[in-house]
Parts: sequence; C-alpha cells; structure tokens
Amino acid sequence: MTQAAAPRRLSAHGLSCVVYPGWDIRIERRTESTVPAPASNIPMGGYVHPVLHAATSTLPAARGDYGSGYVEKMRTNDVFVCLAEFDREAGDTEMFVNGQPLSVRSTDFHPDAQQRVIAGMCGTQRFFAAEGRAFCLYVVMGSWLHRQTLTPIANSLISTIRITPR
Amino acid sequence: MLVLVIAEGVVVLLLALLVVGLLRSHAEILRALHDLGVNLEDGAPQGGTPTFGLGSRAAAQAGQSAAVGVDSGVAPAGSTPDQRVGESGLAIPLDGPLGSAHDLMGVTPAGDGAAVAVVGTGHFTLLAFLSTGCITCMDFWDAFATPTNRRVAGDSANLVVLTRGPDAESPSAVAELASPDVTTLMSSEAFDDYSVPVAPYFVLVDGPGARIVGEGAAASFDQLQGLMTKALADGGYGMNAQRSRRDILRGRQRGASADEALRAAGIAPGDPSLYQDPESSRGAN
Repeated sequence: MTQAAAPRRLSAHGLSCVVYPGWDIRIERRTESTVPAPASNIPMGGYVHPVLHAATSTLPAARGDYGSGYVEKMRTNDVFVCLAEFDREAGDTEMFVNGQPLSVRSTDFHPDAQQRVIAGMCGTQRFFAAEGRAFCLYVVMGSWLHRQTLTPIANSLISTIRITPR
Repeated sequence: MLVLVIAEGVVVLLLALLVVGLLRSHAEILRALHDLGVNLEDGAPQGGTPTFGLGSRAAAQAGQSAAVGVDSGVAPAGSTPDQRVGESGLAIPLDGPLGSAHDLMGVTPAGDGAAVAVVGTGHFTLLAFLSTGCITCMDFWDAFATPTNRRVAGDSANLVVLTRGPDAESPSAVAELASPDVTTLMSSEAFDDYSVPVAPYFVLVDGPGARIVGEGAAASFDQLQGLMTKALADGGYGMNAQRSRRDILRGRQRGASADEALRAAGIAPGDPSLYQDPESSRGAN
C-alpha cells in the first residue's frame, strides 16, 4: 500500500502554510518605502513586516500589501488570502483579539469590507495577535454571490497557516 | 427469381451493415488513439516528443554530432545530464514523451518564500531556467527586463525565471540580474523536476492541459522567439497550427483561435467594441 505524499509547506519569515495545487503563494518582506518621513531622511516604512499572499490564480510580481495589482484581475471563482503583520505593540490594543483565526465564515464577508470596493466582489478582515505578533487576516472573494462556495476554498488554506514567534 | 432477388438484397444489406460496423469501429479506435495523444490523420503534428532543441539541431546541420552523437535534435532516452550538453554548450532535450508539468516552489533572491502554480492554471507558463554564471544567459536576463519581451510565449502567458537554489547560486547576483517585475525563483528542486541539464533551458507548459508543450535550449532571445512560435504551432495553439479534422469539427481550441484572431485585429480583452450592441451600432451607421 502506498502512502500519500505529505503536503509541501512554504515557510519564510516565521510564517508557513501548505501549498495546495493551484495556489500561488508568496511569503515576503515588502521592500522599504522610498518616501521619507516628513522632515527626515528615514523611510516612511522604517521597519517592514512580512506579508503572506495566497491566491487561486497567478499573482503578479508587483502587488500592494493588500493585493492591489491582483484583486482587480480576480475572476469570479478566485480567492485571495492576505496575512499582513503589524508592529508587535499593536497586538496589545483592543482592536486585535487574542488568537489566530483558523477559518472564516461566509457571513463575515461584505462588499464594503474590501480595501478598495470592487463591484461584485467582497472581503473580510480580522485583526489578531498570536505568538507575540500582530496581524491582519484579509480575505477577498471574486464573487459576492458565490461567497458560500468560495469560503471552504479560503478556509482550506487559512487553516494551514502557522505562525512562529520571532 | 423473386426469392433470389430478395436473398441477394438481404446479403447486400448485411454486408452494408458489416461495413458500417467496421467503419464505426475504426473511427472509435482512431478516437481512442487520438485521446491518448496519437494523431494518425494526414498532416497532423507528431506528438509526444520535445518540440524544440535548436542548439543541437544547429550542430547537426553543420555536420557536427553533439556530445551524444545524435542528429535529431534530441538525446536518447536515459542520457545522463552531462550527455545532454551539445558541443555548443547548450542543453539537448531528451527523446521520448514530454515529461509531466510540476508546480514550483523556492525562494526569491530577497529570501522570501514563493510557490507558483503551473499545472491547472488558465494560461501558458514559460519557465526560463537561467544562471548568473553563463554568458549565454545574459542575453535573456537583459531581454526579460523589457516588458514586451516577457510576452514571448503569448500575451496571456506567464513568465517565470528560475535559477538553482541559494546552495548553488548567489542570491545577490540573481537579484542584480533579475527584473523586479518578473517572478524570479531560486529552486534546485525545479531543475530536478524538469530534468534541466544546464542553463539556459526553456520549458513551455500548457496550464489548462497540465502538460509540457515544448522544451529545449536557445542561444539567443531571437532564437527563443522562433522556438516559441514553433512550439505553439506544433501544439495546435498558434494561427499557423496544424489542426486535425476532429479538432475543427469538435471546435477544440476555438476559444483560443478566436482570441488570437481578435488580438491580430487589434481588439484586446475588455475592448469597448466587444460590449456594443451590434444592432445599435448598425443603426448609427
């Protein structure tokens, strides 16, 4: 009897997730902003946090932190998952709940919850703290009408995300 | 006499039924072979073998046998990686059926993690296996810095540049050569998965069909353009593609052909003319 191969995990910067067929995934630290903070030579984003992007179609090389550059091209059956890290101190504020969400519900999604509202699509976001780190989980679906069928697809990836302390 | 005529009629009818049955059986065998990748129709492209390997063909034309002594542009099945390098220093594809396509996983030159889906995507993916050390590769690093050159395998095709992993290549050297607008992955695993003997090497993957359309080496970007055109045509995807009667009757690749014809007419996806009511525009005229 042959054993099924263990799913491959992609790991970088203290984040990891399972790589399922058909998913395009990047775990990267964004490049520093070239815009200096007012009245200084220090870049606006002095410390750049990691971000995890996962999508069910091809991610372009150039993307914004919350998927701009990709979300505009999503098809109705596409899902985009973004896990963006914030400063550690942010995790102590009330906006960030304690504990990593391992799933989202179709009722969590709303067209107005997108970073930039795109007609026909919807999104949801959760702010949370885990392993001494603060994150925003942002999920976009290519179709508001199909959110119930797309939610399990998003959850198949979200449930595999692991965060390790830094 | 009447009985004789009726008997003859029955015999003719039975023979006709037999012929129809044989023709139908023959058609089903052809269809089954076709579905298995064997196309016996006149003019059909030979499937299943690597469709490009210009480096070795050039050597053959010049009367120089490649390192493995082949003149067909492909190396015999089972050749070792060092036997698959021609005298020109370019890699030679292996003979036999094209291998399976694999999804990609590795690190970026910046040390980030990346997994790129290739199989089952809605488009073609051109995998460019390059190195920072080979002189021939420099032409491709330079070429891929230009946006139009990235569409060498078609407007909708995705380009992924691959080098060996950080154990074999310097990430800073790769970062210096790689365009930030091109997905660049360092993955020795990908070199193994696609049996790449030496860079530069190119593999064209049909995402929807989950298969490799062609693979081989090119000595310059201009050669690569020619190879892509040939691979797409051989695979039945280009305007000059050889299509079997079955393909035409069943409408296979009709969508791709329509897209291609529209592009040739200067009508890109999302063009406003695609959404105009033909009746209203006729009335306006």
